[in-house]
Formats: sequence, C-alpha cells, structure tokens
Amino acid sequence: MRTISTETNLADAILQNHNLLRVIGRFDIQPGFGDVTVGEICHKKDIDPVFMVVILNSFLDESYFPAHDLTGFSLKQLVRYLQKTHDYYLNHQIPYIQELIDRLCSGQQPENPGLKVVNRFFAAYCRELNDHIMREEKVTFPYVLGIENRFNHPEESETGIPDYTIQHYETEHDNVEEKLNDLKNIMIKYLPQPFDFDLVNRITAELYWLEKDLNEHSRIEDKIMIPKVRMMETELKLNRR
Amino acid sequence: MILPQSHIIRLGLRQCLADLNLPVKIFLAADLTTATDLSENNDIQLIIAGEEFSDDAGFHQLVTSGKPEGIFLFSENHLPGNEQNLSLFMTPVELAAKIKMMLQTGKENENMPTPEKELSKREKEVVRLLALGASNKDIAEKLNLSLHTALTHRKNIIRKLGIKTAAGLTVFAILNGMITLEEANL
Repeated sequence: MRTISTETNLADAILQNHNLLRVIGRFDIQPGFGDVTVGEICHKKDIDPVFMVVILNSFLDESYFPAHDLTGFSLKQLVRYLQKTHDYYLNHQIPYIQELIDRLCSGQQPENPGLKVVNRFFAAYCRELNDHIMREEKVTFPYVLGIENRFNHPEESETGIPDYTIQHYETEHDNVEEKLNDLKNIMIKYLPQPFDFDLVNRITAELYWLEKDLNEHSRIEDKIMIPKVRMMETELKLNRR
Repeated sequence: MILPQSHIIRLGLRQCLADLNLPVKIFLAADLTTATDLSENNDIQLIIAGEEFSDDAGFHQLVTSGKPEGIFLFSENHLPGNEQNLSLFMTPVELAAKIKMMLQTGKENENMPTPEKELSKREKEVVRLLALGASNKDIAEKLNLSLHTALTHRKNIIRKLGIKTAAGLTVFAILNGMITLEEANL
C-alpha cells in the first residue's frame, strides 16, 4: 500500500480505501470535495497537513509510526481529533447499534430471553466505554494539553510537573476492545434462536466497524500521543534540573 | 509418570515400561506434590496412578491442569474391564498393548485439526463462579485449587470459548443455563 503524502490525490486515496471517508469527516471534509491533493484540501480547510498525513497513514497501516513527524504538529489538534472520534462513538455509532439491538429484542414474539441478556451486556459495555471516554476527556486530555503548554511556554509555568504522568494513562488504559470482542463472539457462536437473522447480520457488521475504529483510536493514542507526551515530559524534567 | 504410593509397585512399573523400549522419559512420583511439580515442569503424556489417589481432589487437579493425554489407574486387584485400568496381574503383552494404544491415541489427538472446545466439568464450575462475580482467588479457595490452577482453568476457558471478560462469561453462563439472569451481576 502506498503511503499518503500531501501530494496524494485525496479522491484516489479514498477510492483505494473507502473507510478513509469517515476519517476525513472528522476534519469536516465531506464528499464532493473535488479533484484536490491532500495538501490542497488542508490549505483550504485550514488543517495542519503534517497532522492530516499522519492520521491518514496511521489509519491505513497498523505498523505506521511517524517518528520523524512527531514534532511537526501540535497535541492540541491531536486531542481535538480524538475528541471528535469520541463524539462519533457516543452520539452516532453506539446509539445506532443500541437501536438495532433494541429492535432485535422487541421484534421477537414470544420474547427470546437470550436476546435480552445480550442487550444487557451491550448496555454494560456502553457504560464502560463511556467511563473510559470520560476519563480521557476529564483527566488525560487536560494533562496532555497542560504538558504541551508548559513545554511551549516554560517561562509561564512556575509550578513543577504534576504527579500524574502519561505512564499512569498507559497503565490505566482500559481494554474496552476485549469486551467488544466477547460480544462479537457471543453473537456469532452462542446467540440462542429464534431471532431476526438480517438484524443480527447488521449488528455484527456494525460491531466490526466499531472495533476497527476503536483499535485505530487506541493506536493513535499509543503510537502518537503517548510518545509525543513522553518526549515533552522528559525534556521538561531535564530543563528543571 | 508413575504415581502409586508403593515403592515396589513404582519400581516394578518402571521396569515393565523400560522393557517396552518406548521413546519416552519415565518419571516417578510417590506423592501428589512431587507429581504436580513434575507435571508443571515437564510435558507429561501419560500418568499411571495408584487407585488410592482416585478420589483425591489434588489428583483431580493434577490431571485437569497438566493435561496428560492418558491416565491409567493401577490396582492391586483385577478391576472390571475398564480400559483406563491396569492391574498387578496383567501380562506384559496386555500392559504393552494398553500403554501403546494410549500413547498412540494421544498422538492422534495432537494431529486433530480442531482443538478441544467442550468445557470440562471443572471448567464449567469455574465459569459459573466467575459469572457470579468470584475473583480468581475466590475460585481457588472455593474449589480447593492453587491460584495457578485456577488461572490455568481460566486460560483454557478463554481458549475454548473465545470469551475473555467476566461479563462475557456471565452472558455465556446465562445463555447455557449455568446461572439465572437474576443471579447475574450484569
């Protein structure tokens, strides 16, 4: 697979992998953008092109690690992007899957209690995902932005580095994907009859989408955000000595 | 591994097995602690245990956690025609046939394309307890297992079912009638 650069034609990249449409949507780029390169659309939409290229490539290639590009963009825009993906999960993707599961349960007469159990499991999963996202929004992201601020304006920050470090985040980084994987397994292997097969198909497909997207989200956090924050933490500590 | 309490029977069995010229290493254990140690550090294919161990919880643990391919119970008396039994009065030919057949079955199982998927009775108990909210430590205590064995059961359950989280196992347990929805903490 070819790596995307600012010279790459955006439509060509998307024709090769249509999943990128969801990614550019988080930069407020929608279909109908015309025959433009990645660099041109970034200029037009006032998006940092280095950051855009890192996000697109990281989505396409799991092993992509932009070591040399890490310094080229701000954590502020990375956090903004991650917040947009959070918004997408909580306000679009999860409610949509919930609606499908509700229909699956209510459409069965007489009632199939096994489906109700799956619904409860999904509800528990959603609560966990929500908690995880809220912790990132309330603790991790403010910390990340604070570190960047100290890094850029060391003269303004009188106090030392807070006790929380990105190391904490790494250890508490819940594996919400595990539960999702269990849900897929249960749907595929252990779902009790009778049920609406078409709905089960659609739910499973949506769970796969969500899983791929969450994995991608974690990868950006683990491979881009954390290394960049750690680099800043190290430099701040060195300067303090 | 040869595990009767009697020293004479152990050595006798070792000699009989040595006479068969099998390409296997023979371990001797007089008690379950030694047997468990040996089982944890070696790939034990076959256990020949004295019948005195048959009702022992520690023995049950040994054979479920170590996963030998075959188990024989050795009796000083003639036991009714069970393939899983060896007795003091067997002829060398009978012994050779049984041992070779068991080792061969083990090999065939190894070559089976699909891994074993059915949960053992003990694994079902572990699933049930996990679904009711028990920790690994609680399970070890309730089932009288070492923590290591409880963890091994859990690993095997994950491998067999493809379900990793306690919540996922709870759903599995409800769907399979191991616990009720009311009992579950979901």
